[in-house]
Amino acid sequence: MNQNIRLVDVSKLYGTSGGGFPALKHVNLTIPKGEICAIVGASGAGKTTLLNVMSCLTDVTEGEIFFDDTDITKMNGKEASDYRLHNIGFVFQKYQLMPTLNIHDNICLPYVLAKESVDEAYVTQLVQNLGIESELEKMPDQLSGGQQQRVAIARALALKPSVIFADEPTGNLDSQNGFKTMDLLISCAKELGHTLVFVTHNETLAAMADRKIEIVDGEIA
Amino acid sequence: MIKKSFRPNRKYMIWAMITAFIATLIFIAFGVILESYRNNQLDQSIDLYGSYHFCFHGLTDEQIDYVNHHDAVEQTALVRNIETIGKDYVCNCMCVNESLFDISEYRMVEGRFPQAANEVLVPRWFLEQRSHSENPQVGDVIEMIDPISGENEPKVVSGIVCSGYSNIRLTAHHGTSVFFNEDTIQWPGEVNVLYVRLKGTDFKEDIVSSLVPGFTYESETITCDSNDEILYLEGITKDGKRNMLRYLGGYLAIMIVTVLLSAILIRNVLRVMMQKMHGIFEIYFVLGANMSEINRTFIKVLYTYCFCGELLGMLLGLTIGLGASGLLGFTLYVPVKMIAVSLILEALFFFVILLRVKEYNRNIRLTGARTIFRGKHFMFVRFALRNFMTYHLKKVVNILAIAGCVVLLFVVSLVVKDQTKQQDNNDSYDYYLQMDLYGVVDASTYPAEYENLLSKWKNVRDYCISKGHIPYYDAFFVDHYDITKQNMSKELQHTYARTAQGAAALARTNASFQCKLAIMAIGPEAVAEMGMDPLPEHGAILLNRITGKHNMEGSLSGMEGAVIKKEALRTEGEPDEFGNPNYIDVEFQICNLADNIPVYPMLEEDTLCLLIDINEYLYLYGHDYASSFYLKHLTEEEVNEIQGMLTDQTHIRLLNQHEVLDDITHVHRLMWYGMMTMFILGILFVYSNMQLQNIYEFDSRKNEFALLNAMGISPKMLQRLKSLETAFAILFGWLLGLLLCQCLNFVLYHYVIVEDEWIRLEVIWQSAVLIGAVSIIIMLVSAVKNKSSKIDWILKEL
Ligand SMILES: Nc1ncnc2c1ncn2[C@@H]1O[C@H](COP(=O)(O)OP(=O)(O)O)[C@@H](O)[C@H]1O
Ligand SMILES: [Mg+2]
Repeated sequence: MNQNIRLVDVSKLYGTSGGGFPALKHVNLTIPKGEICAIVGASGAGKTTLLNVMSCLTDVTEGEIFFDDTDITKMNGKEASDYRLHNIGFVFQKYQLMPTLNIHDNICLPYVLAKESVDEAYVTQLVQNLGIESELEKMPDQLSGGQQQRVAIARALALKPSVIFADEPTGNLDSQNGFKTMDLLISCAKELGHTLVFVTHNETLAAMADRKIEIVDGEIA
Repeated sequence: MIKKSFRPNRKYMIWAMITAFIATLIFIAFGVILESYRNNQLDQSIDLYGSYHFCFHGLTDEQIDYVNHHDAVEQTALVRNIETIGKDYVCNCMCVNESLFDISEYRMVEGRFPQAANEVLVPRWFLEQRSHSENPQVGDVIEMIDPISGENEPKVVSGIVCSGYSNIRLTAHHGTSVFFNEDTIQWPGEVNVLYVRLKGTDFKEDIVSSLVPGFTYESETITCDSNDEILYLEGITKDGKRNMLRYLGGYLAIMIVTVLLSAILIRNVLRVMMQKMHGIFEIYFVLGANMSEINRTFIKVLYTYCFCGELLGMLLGLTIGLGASGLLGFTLYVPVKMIAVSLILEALFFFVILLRVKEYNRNIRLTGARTIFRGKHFMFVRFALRNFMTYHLKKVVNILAIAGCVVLLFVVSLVVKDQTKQQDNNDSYDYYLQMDLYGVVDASTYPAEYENLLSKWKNVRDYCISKGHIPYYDAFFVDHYDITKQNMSKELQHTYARTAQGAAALARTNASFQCKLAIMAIGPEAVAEMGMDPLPEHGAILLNRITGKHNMEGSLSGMEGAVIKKEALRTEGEPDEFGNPNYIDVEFQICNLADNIPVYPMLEEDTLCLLIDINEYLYLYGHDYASSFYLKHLTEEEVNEIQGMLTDQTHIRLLNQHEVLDDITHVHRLMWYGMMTMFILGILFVYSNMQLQNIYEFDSRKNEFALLNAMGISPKMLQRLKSLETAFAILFGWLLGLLLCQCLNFVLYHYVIVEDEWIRLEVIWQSAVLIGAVSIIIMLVSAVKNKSSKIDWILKEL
């Protein structure tokens, strides 16, 4: 089955119902399974909002979003979190590792939330691929930015989700580190057949994607 | 301008104010109620017994002069020995003021107080002995030695006196005094006893010490008669000092705990405010504002709020105290000094807390941590525990608040329990026919008076039986009985072990504890009422615990079937060679144990009660042997009839139990309400703390929760995480509170009140269980409340 994300006429208004700020305006978009997709656009264009509506973190004001053939805009809180947990992996600009947990536990956190036992073999393989196997017993703030982001990638991949959203994953890294991290992320995604949607300002990084989507003032250019 | 920027945070300022308000309210209300309670007891005692009084023996004229001219002295009375009557009885000649006589333990039976110098008030037997008339009566002239001339002179008997019920003892002997009016007679020369009554309630130590060198109440070398009750309540005697210490200590403990609790809360409020206002302060800082001035203004504003809270708390505390005192029928007493000191201390304390404002912004550093996600089980709980451990510094206030509440309740219940300490009450029987002790009316000295008393008693008893009321006899026969260690349940042993003496006694292998043994008589109706089979011959029911020990049911074991051997008053055969009667021994076999009996003997604590059949009792201890008894369901008519039989109620009285007990239960009920109020306030403390905790801590950890949310934690699970963390805080706080109470208990037992045994561990458990249960409910409530909150804000964090 050709798993995909499909946005149909999606609009998002922030603020009061009457005269809110339109962050997304009638967006129509289809992302097929396994595609590496880059989203570019000016600051405030609505990139993050787009990712948020696709991951059901925020409601849409209008329109429908299909994941496979399920309309995620109709989901309740519990269904939405289940959907995120099992189908989506997140990588954030500021890494967002759990400060109370060490690296190993940070990577395994999705298993705890899913009430599944930790797949140690898979985790070992992941950390080896990402080159952080020697950091497992450390705490997040003992790691460099690039290392932290790789931990975040490992965590995003832990439950083998079908889609990975990355919101400016290299924004906090220098260009060399950013390039390396992005390369790792894309190769991991490709290897495992995940869909990857990432936001970036960097043209070189955007060029690494299968497709580049540009957003201008809440609309796809 | 600066003040304006605090405005969005007024909510928190008011929160701080309310905190100060509640804390002040608690200790002031409590202080006022306690002080009123104590002072009213004092007033009552003074009403009953007069203010302080002392008796001094063998004083010189100079000493008497000194006392007579002392400012603090209200009245004096001189007592001298004039005659010896019979073999061992000394008759005292008393020269007293009429008002003093009124509150003494002597009572006028008939006639009036002497007016003229030749008039005298005497006991009936004295009149009968001295009067020459056929029918001795008031107004007769008798001959007695005049204290002034030393000659036998005629005196007019103005009235009959006998001993009554009072704590004021004019002399050591009962019923052996004749009275003259102090206003009409001035006795010179040698004085045996000087009685002194003081003005007001301020103890004048200098009078006592100048009259009795080396005298001290501490050492309990009582060489003079004193009003024990008042001295006790004023904290002058050794026992009284200890009571006072306990009273003040209890108050102080309550004050400290409440102020500490409120300080914790205010600190919490401050942290939340600093967190919320961080941005504002930062902008000021960047703009180059004088930060110390801003800080000062902030403290001033917050302090004003706290201070207003204190004032409001004081006002409401006083009002509550007033209300409670009104309900109790008390006069309101405000412990002004105590309140002033507490308020100043509280204000200072808050000030210190507020001064440390800058410190509340520190962040927590996270250090290395072990891997916890291994395997499959309890991982979520482990996650919550890890969070709890990491943020325990942030949660420490919560832990302390809960611990503080447990301790607060413990202390409050101790103080309440101390002040309302009470024995078993006999409220199932309505009336008590109280007999005086036999010492008051000695059969050989006052045969007529004795006969009179006995016939009155018999009349009442026979009347009651004829009306179908079965008297329930109070213990007349009191003896000792040794309970062995084996017969004491673990619980009872445990109670004994809490005092140093008890523990030492228990350590001996063959330890036995001497208890008083009261034998009470019970009718078959009462046995049936207790749901037991009729008593066989020599059968007895044993109260399965020692009186005064509440909640100690079943504290004796292995007593069923035991035989208690006692001497009866019935004699048998010839007297022995010295002419002593040959009393028979009786053996009572315990055929039943009762946890509660309808009435308890009017005795002190630590008494064993043995109930035997009334007919056996009357046979063994004599039909003619009068003893106090209880009655049930008397009609108004019957009560009047009995009152008529008792005429002047000398030596024998009918008491309405409910009148006596109503007052006590009323006070207890109010104390209980007070405790519940305290409990509710404690809950408010815990609740506001938890809410603050959620705001402060969960707010500062928004990022974590946002992340979990994005990763797909369900709202329920997120709530469970927070609740679990809070539950750990509750658990730790609860354990800490218990530990503190246990320490306090230990200290109290072993260092403060060695002899008293009335404090029990259950008190702690009660408060602990209550607080624990309520904390959990609060946790659930706030969980439900937080659940409904939107998670939109979370998004901005990532
Ligand atoms: N929670 C919110 N409330 C109101 N407006 C918002 C909110 N989040 C984002 N916006 C607005 O929506 C627009 C798009 O934001 P965003 O998607 O974060 O842009 P981008 O990620 O492309 O920089 C911005 O103009 C921003 O001001
Ligand atoms: Mg963005």
